[in-house]
Amino acid sequence: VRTALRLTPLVLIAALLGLVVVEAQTPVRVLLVALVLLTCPGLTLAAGMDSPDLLLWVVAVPAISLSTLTLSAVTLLLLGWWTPTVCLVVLAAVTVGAVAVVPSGRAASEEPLP
Amino acid sequence: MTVAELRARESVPESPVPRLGGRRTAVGGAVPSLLALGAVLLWVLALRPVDPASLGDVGLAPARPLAVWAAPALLSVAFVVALARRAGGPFLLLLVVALVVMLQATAAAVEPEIRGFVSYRHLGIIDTLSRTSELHSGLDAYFDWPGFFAAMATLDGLAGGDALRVLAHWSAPVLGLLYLPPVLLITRALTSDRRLRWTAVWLFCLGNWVDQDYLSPQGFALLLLLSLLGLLLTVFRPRVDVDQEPWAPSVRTQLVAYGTVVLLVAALAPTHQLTPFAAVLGISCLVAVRRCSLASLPVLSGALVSLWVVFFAVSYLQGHLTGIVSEVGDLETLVDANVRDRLDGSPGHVLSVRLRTASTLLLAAVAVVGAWRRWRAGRQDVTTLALVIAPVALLLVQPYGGEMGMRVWLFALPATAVLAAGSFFPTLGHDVGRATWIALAVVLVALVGGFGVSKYGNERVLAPTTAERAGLEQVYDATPPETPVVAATGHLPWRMRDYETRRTTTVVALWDEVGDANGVVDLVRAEADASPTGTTLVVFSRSQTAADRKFGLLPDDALQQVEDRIAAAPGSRPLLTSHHLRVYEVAGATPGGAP
Repeated sequence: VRTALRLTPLVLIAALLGLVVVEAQTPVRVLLVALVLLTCPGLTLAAGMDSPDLLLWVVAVPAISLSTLTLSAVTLLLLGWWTPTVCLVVLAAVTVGAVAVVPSGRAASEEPLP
Repeated sequence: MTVAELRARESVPESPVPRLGGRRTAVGGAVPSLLALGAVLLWVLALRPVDPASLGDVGLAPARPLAVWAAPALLSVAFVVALARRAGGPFLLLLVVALVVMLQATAAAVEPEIRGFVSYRHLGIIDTLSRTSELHSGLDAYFDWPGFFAAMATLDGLAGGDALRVLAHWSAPVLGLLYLPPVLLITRALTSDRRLRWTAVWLFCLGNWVDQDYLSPQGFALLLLLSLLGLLLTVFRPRVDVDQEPWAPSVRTQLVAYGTVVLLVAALAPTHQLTPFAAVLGISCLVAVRRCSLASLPVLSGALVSLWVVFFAVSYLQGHLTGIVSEVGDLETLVDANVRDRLDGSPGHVLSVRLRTASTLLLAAVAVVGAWRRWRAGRQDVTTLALVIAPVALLLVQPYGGEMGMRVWLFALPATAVLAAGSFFPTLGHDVGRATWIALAVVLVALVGGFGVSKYGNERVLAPTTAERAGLEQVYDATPPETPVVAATGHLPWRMRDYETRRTTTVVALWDEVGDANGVVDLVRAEADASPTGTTLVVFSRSQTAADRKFGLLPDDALQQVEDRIAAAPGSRPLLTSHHLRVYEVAGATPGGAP
């Protein structure tokens, strides 16, 4: 489950990038945007918590995702590089980085805690 | 007293609550589910489109069929019965979701346009960021705290179409639902009594009448703040005896939670002027009373917030620092702006303000009783009291345009709701009598009544008609984007585009300068002279007239005098005339305008 949660954001972002590139305007795109902005990279990073507390997850995932979105968008604006697509690419990069950093379920269960 | 003793007094494990009405079931028997179903049906069937022009000075509450307000009242009764019969968490959650939808979605469901003239201004700022990809720092405060707008511009660009406008229309129920998980997390961290916890969540929903949940930075920032507090209280509250808790967070969980907390503070800093300071105060209070183990967090969060203000909002500070500093600790201005000024206006307005105040005082009084009863029962709600008291310090710093009282109420609401719920369940693990359940139902129903007026009391002003919204868009389309706009008052769905190019002011502001209609016309013509197009637009609308009457913004008939003189002024011509909207184009004395 943890591995699936870590990788789901990547699938969502890839699907959204595809729709943005081909400029497909469908209700699915709106739904996908909402999902991506609320769960990427929160789902991946929150997978680092080994807590069974569902409510903690439900709070942490959008909190991480919306904060990352806000900080990415503001930083890009300050740098003069902001466009929605660039911002999405940054979110994708952060998510990929998080996948690399956050241990998978198997690794997490085998690694000793610090 | 040591930390261990303090903590132990606050987190005495609660014995199981005695069962009322038999075994615990998923929905607490047939009665609550039937009541809830009836409430939902009542609400859905009573929803009918409303014409904002037909509303009175008390707003939406008296204009809607009684069933619209009876439905959440009935739902509150269903909630009390379900709680008394120990219904399961999922059913109680379902009831809370239904309550949020009923309370927050009513206006969006019955009104034709996005409510709240500020929503249109925020759409204009998002439009400017999207078009120019630039921070217009110094244009106004919004661009110095652009976090929310940048995030929404990203959403707008990625989703395309009308997605942002749809979100703006439904933002109150969307934010109301997004607030629920962090509020549940906060209440769960503050008490292990499930009756108290769910009652607190219900009271939070009923106390959230402040109407900051439109498409706004403060509505978004509140979500971040609630998440921050929920995480801090859940993961970083010192635990004396881990056996008292269902789980102790591992180092890995603490690392992720710490990173999230820092991320949240960093995101809050560029998002809103006020909320980051409420966050720093809340964190500092929790650390000061030793209810948060992250001793360095107040310094770190203070540094992050200060960093933004000093380095990125400096243009705002340069223009406003003197004004801000002069109001620090000015209690007379504070009381005038937050209390006395709000009691000016039409009888309907005064009535709605009094009802709003009464409703707020009721919840506050119940919270005081709750704190007292729990203290008498041997509970020291230090954490809860710290979260109530922390934002109050903001009141001493700034009147915030007369809104600080309401904002402080909102920041303190989750903890206030927990204290208020404690007045019904002061003794943990002890059964309560039928009278208590009836008292709880009565208070909830009274608060539902108060909510209708508190939240929707200004609807005649806040809800534009389609004629107003579409007419203004038509005028914006037909005139150069540099043409300035003088609106009778700011209560108008304007500034939804050309935000950075159209200078704007109001007749109310001009009247404050000169004090008579002829003087206002002279200033309007001077504004036209200074504009690149040599003209200015002057807008009079239904919502502005309603605002003037309701809030008493100008002397009697002043607005009509100004409109008559504008219509008769040399070089003035009507661009659009309808029952709800009149727009005049006024030429300046210099043909062609400013070079």
